[in-house]
Formats: sequence, C-alpha cells, structure tokens
Amino acid sequence: MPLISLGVVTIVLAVLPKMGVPRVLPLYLFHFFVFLAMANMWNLLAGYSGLLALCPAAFIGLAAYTMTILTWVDVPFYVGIIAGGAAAALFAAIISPSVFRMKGVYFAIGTLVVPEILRLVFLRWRPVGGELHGGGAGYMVKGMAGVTMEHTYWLGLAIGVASVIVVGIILRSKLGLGLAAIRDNDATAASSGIDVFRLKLYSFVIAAFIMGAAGAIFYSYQGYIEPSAGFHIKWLMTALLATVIGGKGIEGGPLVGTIIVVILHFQLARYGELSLLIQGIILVVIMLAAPQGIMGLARDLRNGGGFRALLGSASQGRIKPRQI
Amino acid sequence: METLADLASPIAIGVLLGGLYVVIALGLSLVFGVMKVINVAHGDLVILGSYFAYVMSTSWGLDPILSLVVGIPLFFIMGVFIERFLLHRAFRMSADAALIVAFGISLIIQNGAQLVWTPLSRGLMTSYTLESLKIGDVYLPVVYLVDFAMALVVVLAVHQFLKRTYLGQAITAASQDSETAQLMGINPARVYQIAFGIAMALAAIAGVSLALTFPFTPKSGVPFLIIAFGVIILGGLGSMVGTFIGGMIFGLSQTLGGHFLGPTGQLLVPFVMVLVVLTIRPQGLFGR
Amino acid sequence: MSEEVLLRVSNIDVFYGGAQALWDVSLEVRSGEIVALAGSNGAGKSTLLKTISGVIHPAKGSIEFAGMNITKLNAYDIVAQGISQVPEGRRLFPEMTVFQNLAIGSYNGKARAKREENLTRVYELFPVLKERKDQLAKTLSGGEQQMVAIGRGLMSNPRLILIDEMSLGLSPLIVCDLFRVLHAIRARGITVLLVEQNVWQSLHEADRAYIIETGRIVLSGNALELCEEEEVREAYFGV
Repeated sequence: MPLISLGVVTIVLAVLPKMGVPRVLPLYLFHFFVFLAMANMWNLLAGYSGLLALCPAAFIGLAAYTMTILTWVDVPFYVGIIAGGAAAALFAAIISPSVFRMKGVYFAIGTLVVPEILRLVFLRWRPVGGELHGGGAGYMVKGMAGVTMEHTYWLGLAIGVASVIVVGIILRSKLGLGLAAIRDNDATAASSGIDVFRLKLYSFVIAAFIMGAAGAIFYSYQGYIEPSAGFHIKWLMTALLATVIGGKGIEGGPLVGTIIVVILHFQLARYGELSLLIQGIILVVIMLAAPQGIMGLARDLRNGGGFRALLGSASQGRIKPRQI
Repeated sequence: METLADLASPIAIGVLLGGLYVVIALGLSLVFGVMKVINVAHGDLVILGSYFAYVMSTSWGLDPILSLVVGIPLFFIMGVFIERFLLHRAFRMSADAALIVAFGISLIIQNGAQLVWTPLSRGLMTSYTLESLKIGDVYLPVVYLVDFAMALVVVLAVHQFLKRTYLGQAITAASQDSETAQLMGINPARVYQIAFGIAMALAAIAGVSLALTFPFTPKSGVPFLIIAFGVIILGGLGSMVGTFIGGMIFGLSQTLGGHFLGPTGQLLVPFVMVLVVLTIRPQGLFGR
Repeated sequence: MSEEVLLRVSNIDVFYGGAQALWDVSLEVRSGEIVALAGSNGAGKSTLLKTISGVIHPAKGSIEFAGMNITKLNAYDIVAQGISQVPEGRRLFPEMTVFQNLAIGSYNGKARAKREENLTRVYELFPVLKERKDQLAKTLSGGEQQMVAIGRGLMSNPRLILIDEMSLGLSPLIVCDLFRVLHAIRARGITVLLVEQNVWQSLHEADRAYIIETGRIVLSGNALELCEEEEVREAYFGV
C-alpha cells in the first residue's frame, strides 16, 4: 500500500471516534487493528520465514501479564504495553536456540507446547497480589481510571498501522530477501552464506514484540486477564485464520483476512463454542478449496488464466511449469 | 526426605500409566511414519473415543470395553473417510497444509464435543473403577492394570499385523520408501487410508482406556497429543519397544511431577520434557 | 526366442522436473530377449524406464504391453500386468530384512500364490541371500543389495523385468556374476530390458540394443553389430 494512502487512511481512522459515529464502529475497528497486528506478524513468520509457529498465545499472554503485573506496582499501563512487548521479544530470543533446532513438524509441536507451559506456570505463580479469594489466577488491570475507549482505540490503531509498516519495511529490505530464500529451502540458503539462525531470530523477535504489544493493548481494554484466556489457542486461531483466508505469504493477505475474521468474531460472539467450531470448518474448507486465500485467488485471476487457472492451481505463490 | 517407599506408589502407577500413553502414541506414530504428518487432531480423536464409550455406557448400559466391538470398526471407517476426503487433498498440497487442516479438524472436534456434551467433566464408572490391588504397601488401582493389559494386547496385535500380513508389510514399506513401494504394486493412497483407519481404531481403544482412568472434558485432547508426541519422539519412530519405554518414562514424569509439584506438575513436567527431548535428541533414545 | 512383441513404446515425449527429457522415443522388446538401453549419464535412460513402469507418464505417445495399452496406468497397477522394475540405486527397504524385502515383492495378487515357489528360485539364483535372509537390508554390501533388488523384482512373477543401472558402484567380478544371472532369468522365460552406463558390457551380453543420447534414440539393432559400429566405438569405447 503506497505510503501516502496509508497516511491518509490512518488520519481518517484516527479522527473517527471524534466524528460521532455509532459506538459499535470504534469497537469493531479496535478489534480489527489488534487482530491485524497479530495476523501480519503470523504471516511474517509462517508465510515469509518458513516458521509455522503455533505459539502466538505465548507472546500475547506473556506481554499482557507483564503489563498487568506492572500496573500493580504503579507502572502506567501504556509503559507496560511496551514492557510487555519487550518481555515477549526477550522470551522469543531465549527460546529461539532451542526451537530453531526443531525442523518442520517438530517445530510446530514444539511451539504448540510453549503457551501450554506458560499457562500452567501462571496458574500457580502469583508474583503480586497474594491469594485470590475463592481461588483463580487472574489479575485486574489497574490504573485504568480516566482511560476512555478512545485512548485504547488509538493504541490499537497505532499497533495495527505499525504492523503494516514493519512488514512493509522488512519485505523490502535485505532481511526480506534472506527470509524468502530461507522459506524456500533452509539448507540451500545456508550454503549461500545466509545466516539462517540470525534472520529467523530477527523475524521471531520482531513478531513476538508486536504480537505481544497488540495483546497487551487488547487486555488494557479488556481489563482482566487470566491464564486460560491469555494463553488460549484462539489467539493462534485468529491469526492463522485471517492469514489463510486472506492469503499466506502475500503482503496484503492478512489485511483482507482480518476484515472477515472480525466480522465473524462479532457475528458469532453470542454463540460461544459454535464460533470456534465454525472457524474450524471455515479453515478446513478454505485450505482444501482455496489454500492461496482471497488475495491469492485475485493474483491468479490477474496473472491471466481466467477461471481455469483458479480451478487448477493450488500452489502458493509459485507458478507451475506448464506442460505443452 | 522422601524415601523410596513413599515413591513406590507414584512409580508403580506411572509405569502402568505408560501403557495408556503407548496406545495413544501408537496411532500417532503409525500416521507419522507413513505419511510423515503429525495429526494434531489425534488427542481430540482419542477424547472422541472416550465420549463414544461414555454414550455407549450411559445410554445403552454397555460395558466400555465391550462397546469397542462397535467402536473399533466405526472409528476405522471414520478414519478412512477423514484421510480420503480431507487429509489426503491437503497432504498433496504440502506438509504445512495437512498440519493446518488437521488443526482445523481438532478445533471442530473439540468445540463440537463441547456443544453436544457441555464442558462438564465426564468419567466412566464400572464395577472395578474404585477397586485397588494391594501389593506390599502399594495400592494399584485396578483400572491402571486394565489399561496396561490392554496396552500389551494392542501393541502385540499391531506388531504382529505389521510383521505378518501383506497389508502390514505394505504399510511398513510405504513408510520407508513410498516410490519403491509402488513398484511392488502397493497403492500409496490406499495405504494411507488404512493406516489412518487403524490409527483411529487405536484412538477408540485409547479413548476407552482414558475414560475409565481419568475424568475428561472436550478440551482434554491437547495435553494427550503433546505427551503422545513426546512418547514417539523419545522412543524413536518405528520401535515398538522404544515406544513402550517412552510411554513409561512419560507416565513416570507425570506421576512423579504430580507427587512433587502438585496438580500443575502433572502436566508441567511432561511438557517441559517434550521440549527438552525435541531440542536435544529429536531422534529419540532408540531412533535410527 | 519368439517374434512376439511384448513391449512396444511408440513416439513418446516425456517431461521430468519441468523440462523435456525424451523426444519421440520408440522401442520394441520381443518376448524372450535381453535388450539393452545404453548411453551416457543423463541421456534419459532411467527416465525411459520409469515411464515404462508407470512412475512417470508420457505427455505424448503410447506404451503397449502384451497387447494392452498401459500408457495411463499407475505404477502400482502395472506390476499386476507383468512388468517389474529393479530401480536405480537398488532402493531396498532399509529397515526390512532380506526375506521381508523379497516377500513384499510378491505383494500383488497373482504373485502371492506363487511366493514360496518364487522364493526358492531366488535362493537358487543367489544362495548367499538364503544365508542372510534375516539380516537388515541396510547392512548388506552393494553387490548383495543388488541381488536382493533383482530377486525382489522376480518375486512379482513378471513377464518383463526392467533393470536400471545394475552395475553401478559394483566390482567387475560381481557384475559378471550378475550378467550371468540375467541369462539364467531369460532361460526361465522372463524378458529383460536393461539400462546401463557400462555400454561395452551391456552390448556384449544383450541380444539387441538401443543407444540413447540426450533424450533421443540414435542407434538401434543387433547388439554385437552395434559394437562394431564406428560411432559407437568412438563415443563409448574411446577407440
């Protein structure tokens, strides 16, 4: 997206809450920004770096907990958000030597375990606040007096736009080139002199920071965090679904996908488990029928094959050699 | 200071628990060996087996183990269907695609089960649920012995199937070299379907075991997936003995973890172990 | 040796890995013959063999076996028709024993009934395999592995056996033994199509031969006559 139009859109979105629109709209948009940030980062990992990371919930929960716990020691929440992002990034850096040794499906399962471990840890560990009456392991976010929906809205906008900019910069940089090589083939990239570990690390840490910050921002709005919510698989699900629907490995994919995911989120909110069930069904159907996502379909149509190309191609970003 | 005698009970139960984990791991290992895909829905499919046994028991009064007479063929057919119509298509696209589809299936099963049976935790009660065998100072709950016995039978049966039948050898061959297996007249698609069907049948058996031993909820599947994965990684693919030992080690890690660290430790210790094994020795103790 | 054409490949174009590998290739194998397909590395010999056994499908042209059109058949169905391939590099199942490798060779329906009979014959051809029958395939020497591979190919009760680069990496003594085995196989009524980089030896052992270069058949005919051909001697024997 050209920088100027991005700037214009951002300004429009920023003044939106002041314009007397129905209260629902900023709420929708807030969720959109937060989910967009997470989806963009997941796309960076899985779509561009070849890291099918199932651990977004770890970064999100950790960052949100960091921010919340800091508010209990009188640290302002907006500082806590940055601290949360940093904590998630640090955590990513710490586990990377171990998880990057795992290839392919081992990496997927390895990263699946991480949020589960954190959830168990936070079920027992209460660094501040002492025992809760009646058990439980959650924390309220303190220091939120005087903070309006507008403030959290702007924070959400900030992280959403930041994620778009960060992805845009990375993809056009040397890092992006290196990542493209790694995604295709680890070993070949390494033999071309690319420091595979370092590039993956950058990707992983940046994604952790932004996902974490987005998560912290979300919980500053939510006001209360507990382990099973903070480390819930639904964070992965949201980012994954948005990326897959929109188009994995395509820059604009998460944006398109997130629009749909947010609509689904609100339309299905009252149905509880049915919501995740339907998301699961949509995921399976999309993966089987149109794995390249909406933007992928658009690109295939544009590359001139018309409908026939749509029906034939299940490739992800590659042009199949044509047999004469 | 804990003496060995105090630990005797968790150790004994941990070993027996290993039996349950072996049956769960076997299904996962079969699919992984043949298709090189980890079915992340496997844990949830085991829980589905538990719910099946629960329904058979509460609605029809059938003894859970007896219900397997219906359960095994039913789950086998389900497995063939899932592979044929869902996983196979994804698998042909890429390994990532198969993983994502399996993930979708996992969510469908978890939340579908939650809709039908509510998040309330369920369990199976039979005549022997509350009984224990006393050996020395140690009380061994009968259900654990039943689990272990079932595990032995299952492992033996699968081992013999793989070794002595043409179909079993076809599965083994296809998992070692799928292209050359075709040159033997083996249709890989059919092999995948059968392997998945067997994996589902094993899930049904594991589900019954599980339901007899623990209370379960729709979300209970994921921890079992993680532990089963740990078992096959630790034991090394393709080694029955390795899988059994891996199962017992994880069983022990759970009971000892629970003994020293409380209920959180029951899952925390095995989970951390999985990460450690994945990092240090992904080919396992007996791996090649 | 009859005149009946067992295998007829007609004008096939084959693509492999996105590029064209074979151009307008035709060949015939008659019942009871040993036919050699010779040529240097990368000429397309293995591709041709894989196309016949159904691992690859031609983009153009047809393949007929015993009167039946097998062009579109999958590899696992072609075995049942009577064609067996001994793949390049042997491709044994590494974690299975010698016996298990041989046994899985008779997987397809018609061969199962004859398993014991075929097994006895294989042990007659390769006595050392009987000694090592419970040994894991990956622990065998190169020559022994090749014996298992050929034996496994025979277990499916084929009418035609395709052998891809039998002598690769093996000592001349063992290769001689293996060629002797080929004649024994032919004596049992099995037709042999052989792909070899070792042009000299294959021309001396076969009845007829095709020379293939960069995806095209350049010469064909009686094997010994081809040996005398000026072009062949220059290109492959360095004289």
